[in-house]
Amino acid sequence: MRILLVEDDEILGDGIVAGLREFSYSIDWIKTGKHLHSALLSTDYDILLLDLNLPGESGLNLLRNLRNSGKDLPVLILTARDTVEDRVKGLDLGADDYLIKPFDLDELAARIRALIRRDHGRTSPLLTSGGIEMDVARHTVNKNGTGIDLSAREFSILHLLLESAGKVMSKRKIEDSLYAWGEEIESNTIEVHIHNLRKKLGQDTIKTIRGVGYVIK
Amino acid sequence: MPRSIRQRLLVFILALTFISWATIAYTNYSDARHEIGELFDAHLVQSAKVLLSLVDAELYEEKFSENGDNGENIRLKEVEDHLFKHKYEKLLAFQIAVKGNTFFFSSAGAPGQVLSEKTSGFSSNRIEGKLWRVYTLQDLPGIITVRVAEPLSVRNGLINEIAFNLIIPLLIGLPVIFLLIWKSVDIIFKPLDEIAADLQQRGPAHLDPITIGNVPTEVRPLIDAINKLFRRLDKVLQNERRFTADAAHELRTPLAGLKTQTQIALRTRDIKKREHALQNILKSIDRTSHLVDQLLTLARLEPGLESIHLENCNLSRLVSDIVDDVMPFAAGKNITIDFRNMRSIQIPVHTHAVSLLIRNLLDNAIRYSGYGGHIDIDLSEKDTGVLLQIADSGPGIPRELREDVFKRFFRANQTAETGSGLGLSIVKQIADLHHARIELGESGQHGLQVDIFFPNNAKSV
Repeated sequence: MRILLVEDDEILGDGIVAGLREFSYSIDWIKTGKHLHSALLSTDYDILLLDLNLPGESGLNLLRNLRNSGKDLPVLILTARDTVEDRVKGLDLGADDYLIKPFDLDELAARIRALIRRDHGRTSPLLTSGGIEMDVARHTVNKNGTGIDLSAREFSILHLLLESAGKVMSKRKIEDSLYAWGEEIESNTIEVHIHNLRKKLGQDTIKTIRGVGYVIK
Repeated sequence: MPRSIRQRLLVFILALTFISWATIAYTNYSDARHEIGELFDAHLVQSAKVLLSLVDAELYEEKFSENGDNGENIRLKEVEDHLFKHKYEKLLAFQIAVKGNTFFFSSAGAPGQVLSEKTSGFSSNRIEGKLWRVYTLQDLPGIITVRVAEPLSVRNGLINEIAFNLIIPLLIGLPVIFLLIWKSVDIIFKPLDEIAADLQQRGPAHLDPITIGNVPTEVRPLIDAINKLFRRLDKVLQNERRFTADAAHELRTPLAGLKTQTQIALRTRDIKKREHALQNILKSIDRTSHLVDQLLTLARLEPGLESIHLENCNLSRLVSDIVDDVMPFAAGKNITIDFRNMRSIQIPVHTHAVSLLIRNLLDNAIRYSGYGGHIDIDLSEKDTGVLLQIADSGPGIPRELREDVFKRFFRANQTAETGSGLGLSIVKQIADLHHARIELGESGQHGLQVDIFFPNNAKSV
């Protein structure tokens, strides 16, 4: 899952990035709204974390422009303003959720999970397919009732495939959602991870669609 | 003097009414007394003259036709008879004496003894315990003496009646005036009572102006002044409220940073990551402390300086001292600071506040100038005041944002440098307190140039 963070405060931004990495999210961080549009064009983010009080511009304006330009990715607002008015305004402008500073990292992660779940039309916190059961919150995977240990990257790939079960994920899309800007990727990294996942979950769990990508039925 | 307006009015008006009435009454009384005295005296004279001519005529009518003392006696007897036939006013008494007391006649109301020893004119005598006003008249040869008298009680009765009539209106009038004043004070003060009731039931934040209604014109300036004060208080209160809210919100972001970093430090097993998080916590605490300092500075500047007094300050010395203070920070970023004009310039300022102003401007200049930048400070004496210019080689502030930067918590620069967003608010506040003009422009190095002009006539802070 790939997250974009817009936050001008250095220390908070650094904390969110480090904290969410612990939850196996890959996260990109921009400090102003200036590059928001180009960032959203270049990468397919699963969720946007938006600080409202940015220097020189209002996060609400960024949100309005974003929605006007047809971007429909989930947006979680991070803000110091806690009046009902502020919240209503943010939600009316197209935010999906609202988190008031200072917040708990676990709560932030939980809200991100919930937003992604809702974005994929799920109501259950469990992702299931062909005997595989993933609990994103607990970071656990079961195959036919027995627990299976996965590395952070493997978990992320499986999460992505389960979240879009039935849909073919290109190698590029998987790479994008796994690695933030600036992280080095070997060309066969994804293949290695898929190979390992198949070893742990069974050869036929993940199907390769030649020339297109991978899919879980 | 009593404090109550009602009592004052009562004392003033009643005393004034009494004094003016008493003066008028006394003048009227003594005039009346005089006039009545003259009238009654004239009446006495008239009566005496009539009586004398009467007796004279009776006595000498046949004196020349009939000689002899005997005839005279008969004549006098006739006078006496004649007199008895006249019906004189009971209150009037008279005595007639002929040739000493050879013939003496006393009217019915008159006392037995002689009314007056005088041979002519007026006299007032006490006879048998009664006061009499007597007029004595003699004929030319001094044979007949007529004394006409009237008890003084007659005229005094009249005078007393007049005096009583003069007192009556006062006796009725004073209580009426008293009541009228009492009531009218109530009526006059009713609008004030209403205002007092309105103010009484207000909460501390209810600062709507008092509706003037039918308040007496004399009280209008007071109400206007109170309303003006209310407006000022309201503004201060709103400012204060917004400031507190802003400040609290502003503190939430560093708190969020601290919390996140602390959570990371607690849960990570990677020593490097933990150290990084702890370093960030330390940095954040320093920044938050700075933010709190700035907030306190602003809070202290807000209402308090109005009453401060200005002292003569050597501005060039102050600037060089502050330059010395910030030099280490500038040197850390390899920034050079050039302060021209070291000539002593004395102006009356609040030294601590102005040093905060300069410090904030220099901090900003260093923060935004970037590595290897340059800051120019110029201090010059103009005809009408003193001009302080600080120019840096930073990114400057776009023209359209130059108004907004003075707002609290407004951050114009989208750079990695994070300030409190309060520095320029503090600068503006201090400049305003000194009636100094502040202008933002572009420096020769395309950075920001701040001009602060302290006018000479700004002594009245």
